Amino acid sequence: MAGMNDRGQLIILFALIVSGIIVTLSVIYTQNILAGMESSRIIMVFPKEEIRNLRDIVEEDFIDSMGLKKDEFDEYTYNVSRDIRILYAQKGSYGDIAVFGSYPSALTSTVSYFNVRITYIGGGIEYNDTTLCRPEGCI
Amino acid sequence: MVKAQMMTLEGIMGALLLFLVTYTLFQSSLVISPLWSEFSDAQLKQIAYDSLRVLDGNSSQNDSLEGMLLSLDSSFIPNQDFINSLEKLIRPANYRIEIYWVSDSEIEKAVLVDNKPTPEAVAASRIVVLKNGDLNPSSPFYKSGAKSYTPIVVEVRLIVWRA
Repeated sequence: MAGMNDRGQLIILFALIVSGIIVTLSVIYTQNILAGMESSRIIMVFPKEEIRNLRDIVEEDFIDSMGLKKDEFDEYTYNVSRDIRILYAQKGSYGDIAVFGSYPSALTSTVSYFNVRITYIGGGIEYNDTTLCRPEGCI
Repeated sequence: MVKAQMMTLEGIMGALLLFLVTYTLFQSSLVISPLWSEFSDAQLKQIAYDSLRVLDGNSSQNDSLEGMLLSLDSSFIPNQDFINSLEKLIRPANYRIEIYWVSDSEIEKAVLVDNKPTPEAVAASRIVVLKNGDLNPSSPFYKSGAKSYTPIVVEVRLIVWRA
C-alpha cells in the first residue's frame, strides 16, 4: 500500500514538472511572436517614404536653385517650406524643410552652401535632421 | 481507492495544463489579430510608394510626375505616356490619382483619374516642386505676376486597391 502511495506522488510530481515545462515553452513562444510582430510593425509604420521625399526635395530642388541670389533663394525655400507645412497639416502630420542659414559666395553672390532642418512628426514618430548642403550634395 | 484519487489528481492536472496552454495562445492571438490587416496592406502601399518614386525621376520625360504636372491643362487629364508607365508599375491593382496644391494659403484639389476606391484601398503620396517659370500660362498652377523661380508645391496622391 505504501509503494502504491509513493507511485501516485511521483506521477503527480512529474505531471507538475511536465506542465511547468510546457507552460514555460508556450510563454516563450508567445513572447517571441509578440516581439517579432511588434518590431516589424514599427518598421512598417515608420514614415520612411515621407522623410525620403523631404530629403529628395532638399537634395534636388533646393540644390538646383542654388544659382539664385541669396534673397531669391531664401524666398524660394521659405515658400516651399510653407506650402509643405500646409499640405502635411491637411493630413494630420507635420512636415517641414526649413533653411535656417544660406551663405552667398563672395564672387557671384549666389548661394554657395546652406543649412537645412528636416522635420517630420506624425504617427507617434518624431524625426529631426539637420544637414549642410553644397552644390555637390548634402552631408 | 487510492488509485481513483490518483486518477482524479492526474485529470485535474491535465485539465489545468490544457487550460493554461490554450489561454496563453489565445491571449497572444488576440493581440496579433488586428495587425494582420496592416501586413496585407503594407505590400500594396509599398508598391504605390515605389511607383511614385520611380515616376519622380527625370523631369524632362513626359511620363515623369513633374512632366505630367507641367503638361496638365484646366481639364486635369494626365498625358497618356504617364498613364501607360503608371499602369505598367501597379497593375493589376486599380488606382485613383488626386493632386493637392496650395494657392494663396488655400489647399486646392483636383482628381486626375476618377475611379472609386474600395474600403481596403491604401494611399501613398509624393510631393513635387514645380517652378512658375516652367509652366505654360494656361496651366492651372500658373501664378501670373509671380517670379519665374516661385515654387508651386504639388502633392500627388495615389490610391490603390486590389481589383
